[in-house]
Amino acid sequence: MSEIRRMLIFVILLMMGFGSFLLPSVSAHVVSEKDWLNDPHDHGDAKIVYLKAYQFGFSIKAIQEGSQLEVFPEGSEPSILKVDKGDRVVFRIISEDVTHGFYIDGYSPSPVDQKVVIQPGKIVEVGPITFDRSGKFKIRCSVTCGPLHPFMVGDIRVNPNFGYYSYAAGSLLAGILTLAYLRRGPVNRMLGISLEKEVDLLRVRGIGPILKRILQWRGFHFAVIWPGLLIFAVVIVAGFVGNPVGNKNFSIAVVWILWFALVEFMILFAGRSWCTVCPLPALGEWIARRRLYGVHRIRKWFTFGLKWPGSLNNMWLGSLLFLTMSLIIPWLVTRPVVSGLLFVILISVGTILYITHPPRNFCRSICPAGAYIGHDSNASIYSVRSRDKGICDLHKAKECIRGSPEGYGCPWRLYPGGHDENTYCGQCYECLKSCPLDNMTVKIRMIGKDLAHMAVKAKNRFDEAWMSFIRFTLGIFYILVFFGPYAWIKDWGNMGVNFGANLASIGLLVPGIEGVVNWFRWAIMVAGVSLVVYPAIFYAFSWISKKVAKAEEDTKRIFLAFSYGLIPYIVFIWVAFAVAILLVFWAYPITAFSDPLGWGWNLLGFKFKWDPILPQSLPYVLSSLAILGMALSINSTYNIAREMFKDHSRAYRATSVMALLHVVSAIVFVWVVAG
Amino acid sequence: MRRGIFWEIVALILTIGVIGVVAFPLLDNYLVPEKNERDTVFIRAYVKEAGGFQPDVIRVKKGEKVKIVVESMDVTHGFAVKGLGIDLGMIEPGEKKVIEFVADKEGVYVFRCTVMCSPMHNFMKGTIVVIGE
Repeated sequence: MSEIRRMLIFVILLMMGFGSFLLPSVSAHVVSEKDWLNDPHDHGDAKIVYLKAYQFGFSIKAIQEGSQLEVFPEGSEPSILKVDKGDRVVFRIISEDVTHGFYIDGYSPSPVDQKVVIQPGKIVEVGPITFDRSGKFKIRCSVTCGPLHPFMVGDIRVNPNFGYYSYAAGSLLAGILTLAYLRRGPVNRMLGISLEKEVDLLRVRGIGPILKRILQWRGFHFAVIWPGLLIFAVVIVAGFVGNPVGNKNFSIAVVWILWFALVEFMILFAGRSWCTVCPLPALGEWIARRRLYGVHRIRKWFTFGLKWPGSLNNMWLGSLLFLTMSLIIPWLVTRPVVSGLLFVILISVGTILYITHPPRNFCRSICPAGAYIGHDSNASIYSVRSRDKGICDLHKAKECIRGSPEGYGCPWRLYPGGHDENTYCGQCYECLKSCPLDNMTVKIRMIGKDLAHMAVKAKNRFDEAWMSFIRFTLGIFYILVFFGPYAWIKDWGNMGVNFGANLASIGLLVPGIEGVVNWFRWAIMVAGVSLVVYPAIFYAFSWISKKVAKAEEDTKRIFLAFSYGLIPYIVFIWVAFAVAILLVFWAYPITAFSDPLGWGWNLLGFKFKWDPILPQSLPYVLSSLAILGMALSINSTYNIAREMFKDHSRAYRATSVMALLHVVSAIVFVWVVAG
Repeated sequence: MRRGIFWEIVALILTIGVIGVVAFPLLDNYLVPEKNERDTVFIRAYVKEAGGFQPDVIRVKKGEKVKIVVESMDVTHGFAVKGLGIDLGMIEPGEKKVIEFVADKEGVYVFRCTVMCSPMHNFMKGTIVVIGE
């Protein structure tokens, strides 16, 4: 009896508890629509925009012109404000949940000087602002409001949007000009620059000998890995115990803003240089070698003598893991604990696999970053190659494979003397040390030199083709998701969770059922676009180009070969993404070095507030980069076709068809960033 | 050969040093969480779902000078004690705000977050207990 009574009391208390939880949070901080949409001030001829801010976006509830008030119904409130050039606009802003900020690219003063804060329960009036320049401008949140705060944006389109129209026309024009150039049938050239020309970097006067001494120095590898090890140790610690809000935390700010952006530039200018300095498999390498500095053969008894399965000697696992990471990217790049866990997993797997299956099989086939960096770096201007392949063929000792007292045999299981693609070369420079004939070097060449012969060789490389499709589609898709105004996509990917988390508050990440359902929608959308839709379109274009060129090769072969032509395009699209991230968020990673845990430290004596650099120029900078990538891509496609068909006229006709797809992609990109 | 071993040892020390460099700030913050001198109280503010104000009960002796340092650990918070007339305004993440005061009346004072920080913002509060001699 008493137990039942106790239960009853408990239930009543529970209900009272829930009641008191619901009551104040609903009533205290909500502005009634009547107060909000009833503007007591006279703004003359200015438009009044009733804007609401929420986690994580902006949308327009109503627009008032004169005495005419247009209210948008719940659920179909636009997040893109369209105004005409010269319009004067007053914003009446409320927040629906937590404290937000308000900033317009190119129209607001620097957020460091003047910050507009929107507290729930208050109506904030901004303006009148005269939109005297046309184009696309973003509304951004300027108060750290939660994990996805950096991506809380809305769009303002000031018509007529000449920038957008001219860049869309520019894509078309660039495509036509590239085709006009290809009409003359340039052999082995890329936009006028010969692909035969290579610069032997280690024989350049002045810098060459110095660089050679550095790269051949035994301690070089340790010296470049060690700082990375320190940084990743800080990343893991900060991820687990630091500030749960991403942009204040070293693990997010340095990895997903600075590292991520730098890697894209590295791919273009220095190939797989990230893999040179990467600390993730380093512990395993040092343990297996039982040396951190010197050369010592890896013993069989030490490594269990297990063999790496041949079925994993490709990019499938890496590219699918990259896609998997992409599916959780709204969490990965905003929740410190998720990043921390990812790096703990990568370091553990890398270390264990290096000991059981040496040498760098983890880097070759599993590491998701290694997969995309390797794939994209084929469009790099940087390469580690032999000076003269003939010497290597005649030289029977093959120290670059077997190793010598000066250096290990290639840990990436390549034949450095003969290889001619960047995909699986981790640029560890062991071959530079082990080669007794001084025949290995670093060569600088024009973008896309290796693509043609790689593509023709690829008879069944579906793995690398799909890596191209995943990277290309996601490059554009992420710019749309993270820098676009569509809050609902972000919410789907984010599972509707509005909290940041470190290890102590990891429980806050448990999503609701609706969040999980929405995440599945997001996952189907991302995977569908990158694995099915774009490849299907690409296949259709390959089929048409086969018909148009009257080629004898089967469509599968043309399809796989032309997928390599996308690589320069991919690199430039992601470089564009990196530029956007750096210009808008540069302050976060720099501040994170001074305050890695986001606890208000000031170790290095500097701190920067969020202050985007020229954000109004981003649409045009990004579009220009994508158009350049497109031109390179069309030219690569031609080089591939030329190598495959051995005939200019067929190659040219096939290229024209693919060029149409690339131009359309460029226009889609321009629409995403500028339209 | 001997030269090689010398460098191995240097590299090993450097690698182990990484752990030290990382562990040092942690020890500094976790083993000695409150570097409290006798009259300074550090309060860390998290959203209520992640723990709210920590600590949320502070004992102060009547007539003694008290220094309270409030540090926001995640989103923007606020700190105000109505009964003592204290309001620190907005505290952005990673920011610290300091208030010094003398509590001259015995009693229990409630401090609250003043910035709408999460759905459970209204429950983000704590108490200052002023005890007599």
